[in-house]
Parts: sequence; C-alpha cells; structure tokens
Amino acid sequence: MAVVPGVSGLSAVAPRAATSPRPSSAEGTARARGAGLLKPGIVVVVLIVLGLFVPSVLKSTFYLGLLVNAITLGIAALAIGFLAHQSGLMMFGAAAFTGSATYLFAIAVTQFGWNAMTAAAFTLVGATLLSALIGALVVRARPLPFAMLTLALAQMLRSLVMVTDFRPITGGDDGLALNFSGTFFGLTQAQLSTPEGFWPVAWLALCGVMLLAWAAGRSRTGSVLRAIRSNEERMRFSGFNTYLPRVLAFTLSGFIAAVSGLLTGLYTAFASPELLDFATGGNALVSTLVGGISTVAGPVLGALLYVVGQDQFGATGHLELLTGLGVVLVIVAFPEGIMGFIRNGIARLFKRGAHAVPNAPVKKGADHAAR
Amino acid sequence: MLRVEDLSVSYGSVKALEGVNLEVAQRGILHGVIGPNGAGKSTLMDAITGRRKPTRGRVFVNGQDITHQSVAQRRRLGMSRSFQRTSIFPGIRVGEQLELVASQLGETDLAGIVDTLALGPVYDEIADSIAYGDQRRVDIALALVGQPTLMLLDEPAAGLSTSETVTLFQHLATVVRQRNVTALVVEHDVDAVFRFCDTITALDLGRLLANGSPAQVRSDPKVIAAYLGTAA
Repeated sequence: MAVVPGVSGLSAVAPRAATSPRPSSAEGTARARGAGLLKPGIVVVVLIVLGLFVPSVLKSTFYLGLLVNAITLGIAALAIGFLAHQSGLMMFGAAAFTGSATYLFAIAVTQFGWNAMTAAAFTLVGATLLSALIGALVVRARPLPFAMLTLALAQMLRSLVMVTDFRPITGGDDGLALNFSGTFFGLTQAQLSTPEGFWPVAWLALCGVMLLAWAAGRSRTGSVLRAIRSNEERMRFSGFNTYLPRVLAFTLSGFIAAVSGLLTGLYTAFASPELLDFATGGNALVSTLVGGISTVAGPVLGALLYVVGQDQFGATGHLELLTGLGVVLVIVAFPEGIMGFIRNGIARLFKRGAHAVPNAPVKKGADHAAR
Repeated sequence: MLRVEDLSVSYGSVKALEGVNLEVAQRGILHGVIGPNGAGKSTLMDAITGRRKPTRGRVFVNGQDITHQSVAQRRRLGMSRSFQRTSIFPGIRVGEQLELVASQLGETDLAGIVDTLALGPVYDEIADSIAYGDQRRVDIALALVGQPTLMLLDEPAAGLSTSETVTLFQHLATVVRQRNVTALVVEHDVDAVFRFCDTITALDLGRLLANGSPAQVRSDPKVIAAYLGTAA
C-alpha cells in the first residue's frame, strides 16, 4: 500500500522517510527474542548457582539471618511492586496474603497433621485461591479505594484469627507454634530453622518468583496489563476485556505474597496475628517504594536496604526516627526508587553512547525492556 | 451499514439527544456530523459506540441490533472509534500498541495501516513523545486496526492547524476508500467537512436538523439559521 502523497507535512516532524519499518511477524519476533535471551539466561543461571554458596562466603549466622529476612520481605515487596507496575494498583494490605499463607501452613500442620510438603502445597493453592476471590471483588476499584480495601481486608483477617471461637484453630492472641513432620525438599524442621539450612530454600524461592514476575511482565498478558494501566477506555474500545487480566495480575501477586508467607512459616515455625497487621504490610510497602516498582529487582533491593537499615538504626536507639528520615530522603531523592534511578541512569548512558555513533538506534523508554 | 432509530440520551433533566433517526447506508464514505456546541454530536457518538447508554432508541449495524452490546463486543463486530481528546497508550511504543491491538482483532495488514497513515518514522517511538499530529494519526490507526466496517471519529482534527486538518482529511478520504470502511466524523471545521465528506448530518440542541449531501445540507435554511449563518 502506497504512502499517501503529501501526508508527511501533517506534523511538525520533518521530513520523513517514504518507507516505514514494517511490523515484524510474531514468529520472527519470538525467534529474535529467544536468541536475545540466551546470553542473559546463562548469566542468570550462573548467578542463581553462585547464590547458593553465599553461606560459605558470608560465614556469619547473624548477617545470613538478615539476608533471609530481607528475602522474605523482598518477596512480599515484589508482590506489591508487580501489581503496582502491571496494573497501577498499590496494595496497602499485602499482609493479608503473606499472613494468611503463614496461617494456612500452620493450620495444615497443626490441625490437619499434614507433612511439610503437603501443607506447603495446600498453603500456596489456598492463598492463591483467596487472592483470586478477593481480586475478583476489588480490582474494579480506583487506586485509593483499592489500597484501602486491601488494608481493611488485612485488618479484618487479623481480627478474625483472634476471635475467641476460632482460638482452637488459630491460637488467638498467642498464635500458633508448629512442629511439622517429614522434610521440605529433604530439609528437616531443625535444618530449616537456621539461616544456613534455610538459605537454599529462600534463595531459590526468591529467584523463582523474580523469574515468574519477569516472565509475566514480558508476556502478552503483561503487555495487555500495561496498556490497560495506560488507557483502560481505549483498551475496551479495542475489543479487550479489561477486568480478567487485572484479576490475573492480582492473583499472581497474591501467589507471590503467599510464597513469602510460606517461607515465614517454614523458617520461624510460628504464625501470629502480627503477621496480618498493617505494620507488617507497611514494611513491604516501604521496601517497594525505596527500591522502585519498575523492575523486579527494585522491591528486593528495597527490602535488603530496609532490613539492613533497621538493624543499623536499631543499634542507635532511634529506630523509628531514623527509619522515617531515611525513607523520606530516599523517596524524595529517588521518586522512582533506587532501581528506577539506576535503570534511568543506564538508559541515559546508552542513549549518550548511541548518539556518539552515527545511525545507532536510540531506544527510548526502557520501562518495558528493563522489566 | 448504520441505522439509528429514535435515539435519545438524557443527563438528568437535560435532553442531550432527542429522537434522532439516522441512516448511513453506503460503505467506503466519509459522513460528517456537524452542529454548534451542545448539539449532541459527541453524545450521538457515545450512544452509538456504547460509551453512554441511550434512554430510548436502538442502534443497528449491518442489520444487527447492537444497542445492548458492550463496547468490546461492538468493536469485535466491526465498530471502532477515536475520541475528542487523543486516546492513545502513553508510555508504550507506537508499534507495540498497534501490534497488541492487531493481535487481539486479527488484523493481517498492519503494515498497510502504518504506511497509509505514514506512521513508519514514529513506529518505534514512545507514543506520547511524538508530535501531536502524529498522535492523532496513531489514534486513527488504532481505530482502523481489525478491519472495522464502521469508524466513528470524534473531532479527529481537534488542535490541528488548518493545513494539518486538510492533510488529515485527505488521509481519511483515502483510508475509507482503500479499506472500504465508513467513517462518521464529528468535526467543527465546517470547511473541511463540506470539502471532504460524502454525506453530512447536522444536529442542533439534540435534534436532527438536516441530513444529505454537502450541497443539500449547506443550503438547508434550518442549518443556516442554527449553525452556518449567512457566511455559508
């Protein structure tokens, strides 16, 4: 089809090439994408394997414990960040899903007498179904009511586990201590209760959910979700169902949060009402804001900084004051989070490099690619 | 093609559209909708496309009653639209958004749309970073994807200069003939409408004033009195 004569004068952009880049075929794009992922894929596998040897290098139970805490918090933060990035909805009550997962695991072990593997599977399935159900009810809400709805849900669940009638099941105020039978991927409860023993489980779980979130972001559903976030009405007028993808994103976010809750149950062998409290969800929320939502690594980095900061600030006796000050400074200095700042810096660097080479393509908006 | 029967829309006690009957039978034409502010032009577009529920009346496309279909269903049935304010996907590359919509609607000639609307040079650009005129064409391209039979364009030239408007209408005239799609175009630039549209509907205060060829509408005393004035 020929270019209409005279059309190039329509906009202020002057003068144009007569031919246009053609939309590539899906097959060709997929092949090119697959080839482009080979080298980064090898690097990721090497990093995952190297990460398993962290306890051998760190040789400090205390700092390894901090890293384990950062991982469980980081996964919860990733659940928030994934949903925020994909659908523009910020979850204030992530504790509803992390906490309920810990409780589901504890109840499966203490009440049903299931072994660790069965209880873990039950936990992930149960918490994911819960998030799908809740998601179906709340994703239509606008961002602020959505945030408050998830917060209310967490507080409601917190009250529920403390209801006297449910005390035999939930342990009420005292929470539930658990001793599980069997092994979890070959590790006994005693092994899992130490940072060294728990590390491979935490590390592989973190890598797994990060890869899952990354792959989901790059999938067609990820593209649909970002387009819905960008302009929902246009998506509806383009023939898309804008509801189901958001429920799907919420459910995946709930699953990721459930992994965090399950790790807490496996590591601490204890479920308490505080796990459902806003403060618990608030830690994950702050970590998300500190790290930034535009990459899967951002929330995890935020959680690491948050946990280390809490440790250092706690030693001064001014934990809340210094935490608040630090969070304000980071958010003001890095509105897109620290990873957002790093990503933008890298993008600017590449752009400058590309300008230095004549005809080199300049890629704008690293948002999608970086995800 | 498109038949509107006794279409009425009310906002509370205000009747934005009252008993409008309209038929556009021919494919591959530009049909202009004109009228002063508050005439009900955009409301008519919204009611036809399902953005706003009519209080009375029915809408038929290709003989099928679509009055109660969702906007997504209408789109899949071949009705597309653009909006008064540019409605593209900010933050997403032009090509990526066109390909996404094309994959949803089974469009096989996206390259043809890109060429026809001269979007090649901005194909890899982030949509909200390109010039306004280009954004308007992306908006139209999004409406063209999926081989629609009926396209409703709400002030596609809003914010463009006179020369840009003329060029845009040249585009539209080419597009509707090449792709055999009928376009209903709401536009304030009366000169462009009379120059490029094959048929025209004039509205005023929510009612149909006139319907016909540009010459018929231009010489209609009611249209002259309500909208065109003596300058016409």
